[in-house]
Amino acid sequence: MNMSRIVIAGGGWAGASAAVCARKAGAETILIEKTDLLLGAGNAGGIFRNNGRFTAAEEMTALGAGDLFSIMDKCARHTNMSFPGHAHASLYDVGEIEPAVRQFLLALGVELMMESHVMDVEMKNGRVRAVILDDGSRVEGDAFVECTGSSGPMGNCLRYGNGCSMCIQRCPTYGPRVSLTARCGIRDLTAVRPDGTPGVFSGACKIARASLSEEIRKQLDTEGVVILKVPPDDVDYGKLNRKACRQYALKEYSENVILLDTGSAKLMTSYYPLEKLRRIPGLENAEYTDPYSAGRGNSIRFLAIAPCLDSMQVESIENLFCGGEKGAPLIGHTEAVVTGAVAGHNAARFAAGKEPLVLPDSLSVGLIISHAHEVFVKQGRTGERFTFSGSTFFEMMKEKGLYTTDRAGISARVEQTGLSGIFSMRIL
Amino acid sequence: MIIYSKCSDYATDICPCILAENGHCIECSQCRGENFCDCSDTASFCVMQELRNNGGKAKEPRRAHLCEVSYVKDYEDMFRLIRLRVPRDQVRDYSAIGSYVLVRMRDDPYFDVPVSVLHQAYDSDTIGLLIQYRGIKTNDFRTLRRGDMVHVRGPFFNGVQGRKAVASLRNSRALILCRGIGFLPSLSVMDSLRANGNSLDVYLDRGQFSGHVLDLYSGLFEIGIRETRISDETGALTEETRRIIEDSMQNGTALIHLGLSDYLIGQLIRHLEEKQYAGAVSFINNARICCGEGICGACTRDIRPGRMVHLCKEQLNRSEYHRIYG
Repeated sequence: MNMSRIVIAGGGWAGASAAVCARKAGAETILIEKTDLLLGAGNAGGIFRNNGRFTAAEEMTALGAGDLFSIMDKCARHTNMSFPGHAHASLYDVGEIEPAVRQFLLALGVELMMESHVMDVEMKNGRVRAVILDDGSRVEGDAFVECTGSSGPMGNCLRYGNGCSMCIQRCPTYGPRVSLTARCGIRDLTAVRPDGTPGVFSGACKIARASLSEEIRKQLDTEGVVILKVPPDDVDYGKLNRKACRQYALKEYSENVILLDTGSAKLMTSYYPLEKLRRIPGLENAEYTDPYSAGRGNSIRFLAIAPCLDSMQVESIENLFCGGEKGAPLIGHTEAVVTGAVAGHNAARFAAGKEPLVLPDSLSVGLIISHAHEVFVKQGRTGERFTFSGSTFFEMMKEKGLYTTDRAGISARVEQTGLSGIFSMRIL
Repeated sequence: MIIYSKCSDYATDICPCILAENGHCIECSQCRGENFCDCSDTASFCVMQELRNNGGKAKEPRRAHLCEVSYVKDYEDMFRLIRLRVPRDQVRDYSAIGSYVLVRMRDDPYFDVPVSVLHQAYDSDTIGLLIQYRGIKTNDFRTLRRGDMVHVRGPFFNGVQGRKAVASLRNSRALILCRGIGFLPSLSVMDSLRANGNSLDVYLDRGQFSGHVLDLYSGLFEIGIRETRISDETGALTEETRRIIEDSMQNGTALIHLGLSDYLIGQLIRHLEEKQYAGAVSFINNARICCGEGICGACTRDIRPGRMVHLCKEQLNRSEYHRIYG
């Protein structure tokens, strides 16, 4: 008998996580990525284990999907650090993480199709039968996971942002994001800003370390964070409404320039005109490396969220699952790893003829999915986005007693659900 | 770099064109007035960004320019082969798969005739066209002499449907089925396929055509042709045609190109659907071309409610072929 095949479109953190879980479940797993790098926007990310993300990472580990968090831990430049609004954070090195994840996936037996652009789907009897690549070839599968994200393409960044800012997604080189659920005839949902404008700006950019003053570089090396005052006439509180990351929409992030050490210097703001940035002591020679035009704009995201069930199955298509921003309005790569794992695992369960897994609300990783779908999809409150690391959902975690850094307690909590190690179990 | 996309003018020097300026862009959903970008192209070029950078205006359209006739040869009082000297260094633009031009002898643009570009000579900056005398516009060319000047507008690129499939096939095998003059617009397809290491099985039905010009070009392009009859007196596909297709499907042919009339293209597309042929299909574009810019509507066809195509510049999806031709 042929092995069941799971095809995953999009090799960001969510796609990588889906691939790990589908493969561990015993499926032949193909991961298709349009660029030459895995992890997508995760190559410009780096922050994990901050606030409720610690709890989420430990819950996933207890559930059997801790592999990617282990890799992040191994690539961490700083651990257990704090910066405004965030405690016990770790920062992975963006220069080390992608090869480490790629090697892990290959060793696991995931087939990677890099620089392959999925353009369309082929349906039969209400199910996805194959995805169509830009060269016209087809990749057939038993179940599919879409992790194509929700940012871009260039036309959207132009219309709802400040134009293509040449971000890590590199649409001009590798082509636009194509929404597969939209190709299936399902209308994408869109997050909006308080003024009703669709989409929000990505929340951070990278500055070349060599362009920073020696003093700032040293402080980044030792402490992992540098906080610099913004000249009073440049403080813009309005931009907090335009950025994706609710957990950093704090006034400290308008009044200060906050730099984090992720190997590169991560500037915790969507974009900042270079001339103004260079007025800040220590940043006189600053240059952006991602997006290259971060002086003017950043990518626009949360423009294509598919209506999904809590199993991450797309409503009305039983063999298509979504992970990452595509599947729920969740911010960050810890969140992407969570939804990607559920989508990949459930794709394998579908191929095995088993009922899908829905994580219970007694775990933060289950609650965030059901809460996000309830608020965003069912109630239509499209101004809301969620993360373990701050804003309303972190408050909810605290209220419900879910937030903790006690590893043993988290493990016991997962044990009570009867799902310990579920993501590592072979089901095919 | 040529980008093969839905619109054959996408990312060319004239893009964004007047269609984008007026909310009818073939390529860009936002230039059509939709709210979100639904681009599915593989690289580089955002029509909306280019339109905005150009002040919301279309780029300069193709203009007719006068070209000198450098060579004339008659075939059977039916055809006239002409060579035209095009502006220096522009000849390469005419080498794309499916290139055609609008050409006329009079100043009046109503006399524009769409003609496929047969060949290009880089060293002499010339392109070759074969004019078939058919009506009031083409009969003008009977009086043409070497050294005369003719109006040429182009190049246009949509002379073949399935350009991307042709351009992307590498080191594989293709079947070419042509009848009569349909062989000539297929030359650019065969040229591209061979340049990319593909082996070709070329079958030609001379039709009603004594075909000296076909011999000339099959010789010039060094194409080994096998003679066949594609359809019988009733217009049905012959047993031989069916056998050729059957054999091709068995020997792993990855692309079938049809240089035929629309009627026979329809017959073949239906036959390939019945046989569940999964490879690529390309064919010559026989649509009535008038302005070439998607404006006049002469070439439009309805595929389904809400989907009308401009065949002068729009490439069809494979799944749409049968809606027009099948």
